[in-house]
Amino acid sequence: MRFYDINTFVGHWPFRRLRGEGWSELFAAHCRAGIAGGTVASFDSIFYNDPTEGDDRLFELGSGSQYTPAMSLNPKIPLMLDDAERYGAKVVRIYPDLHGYKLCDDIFTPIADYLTSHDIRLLITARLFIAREAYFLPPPVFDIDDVCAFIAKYPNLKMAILGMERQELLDKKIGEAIRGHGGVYYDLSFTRSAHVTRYADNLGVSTMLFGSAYPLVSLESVRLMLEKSGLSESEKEAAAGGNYLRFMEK
Amino acid sequence: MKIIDIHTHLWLGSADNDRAGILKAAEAYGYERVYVSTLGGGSNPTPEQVDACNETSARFIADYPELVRGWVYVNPRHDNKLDVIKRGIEDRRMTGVKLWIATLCDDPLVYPVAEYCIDHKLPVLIHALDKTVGQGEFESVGMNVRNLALRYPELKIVMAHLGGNEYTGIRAIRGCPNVTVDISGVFCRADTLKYAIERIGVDRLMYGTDLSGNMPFWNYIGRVNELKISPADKEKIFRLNAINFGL
Repeated sequence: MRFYDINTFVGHWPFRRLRGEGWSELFAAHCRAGIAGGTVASFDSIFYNDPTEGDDRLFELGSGSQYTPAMSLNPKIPLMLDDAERYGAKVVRIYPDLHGYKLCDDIFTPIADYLTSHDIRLLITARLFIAREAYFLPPPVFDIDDVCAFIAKYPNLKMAILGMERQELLDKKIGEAIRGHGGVYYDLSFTRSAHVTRYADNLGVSTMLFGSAYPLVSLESVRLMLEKSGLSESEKEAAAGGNYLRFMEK
Repeated sequence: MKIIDIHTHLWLGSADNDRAGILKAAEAYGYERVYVSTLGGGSNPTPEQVDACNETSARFIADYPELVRGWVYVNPRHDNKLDVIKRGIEDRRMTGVKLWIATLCDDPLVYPVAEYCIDHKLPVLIHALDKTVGQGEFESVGMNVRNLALRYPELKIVMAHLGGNEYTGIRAIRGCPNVTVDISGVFCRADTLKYAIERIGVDRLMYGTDLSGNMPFWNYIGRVNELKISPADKEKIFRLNAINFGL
């Protein structure tokens, strides 16, 4: 099986020590797990006052590698679309909960319009840690109604929702929204359930992506979850990498 | 590599399905032994519910005597708690005692249980789960385990779930050599086992899943497999530490 990982990070996570947070550690871990490449964002860019202080380095090191750098975008910071232009960003990653806005807020509308018109992929981060392990930051809130309304509002925007938990992956409303759109993908990085086939039933198997949230989550656990799932071999192949390639295809 | 899973469950009402899931995992992953306790009746079960739990475990042990071992489930609030342990060990072929969330584990109600276990050389598996949200009123955390361990240094304790939040749980029991921890039941954050090994050493970690039925046993196998430690140390976590602990 050829894996591509939609959900990885480099940079420094400020709330606990992670032993795999550099580029070389990412390469090595992916190599061991048989992962050919993927999309990588910067932890630094999430928390810096000016995210481009992290993303300048991300694009410098990531461009030309087997990874597509994902620009971290906070719509509350002015003129970030200028940076998207400067980077030639193919993927933008957002953190609505951490940065304190909703997808359907007016402040995000010009961003979504720009991503749509430039055919840039949008990665929506549902969470980077689970509620009962929150530290300093309040427990994450993933607003399903907001996400569903946003999906309906942008039928031509290709996006992926990363880090949904079990109850969200099984939510009927979000299932209808994702299946009805066709260009909304999702990963399984923040579930440890055996019910991968139920997620596929609710959200569709053709939009399931392999995402590890490396280095936050046990990569091997997420990989085994897909391998040991009740999906057919061809479905596993698609979720491991085929769907990713289609998601990124222009 | 053979595996000893020291922490699994059956639940009243779904025991048949839970048994099937554990047996399936045992076959798929080469389980050498599995330690089970049955829960049910909510956080503070009645004596009758506790007895039904232990009878459910006993039947599983009797049906698979080579594979299945058991923890006697005890509610420390009950007057008959020591009789429950005695019956579980002597008649139901169980190995140790399981404390869940009826009381905090350092509540004086637990002291007679601890003293009985010391007298009879029985280990105690203690649920400990430190949460930012949803903490149960009588749900122990690492500091409760520490208090019990310091009061009874001869008591052999397994603190379940790395204490829930390993960063508080491991810190609490670090200075308590009579406490070993299992890796079960918490979200598979990266590097937390590495953290635990650095703080308390690989000899104090045991493999457990906290699982039952059709649940993802492989998550915990993946967690151990990806550790950058020697195969010998992985075997310690997967089985040898449990054997050395007396299980």
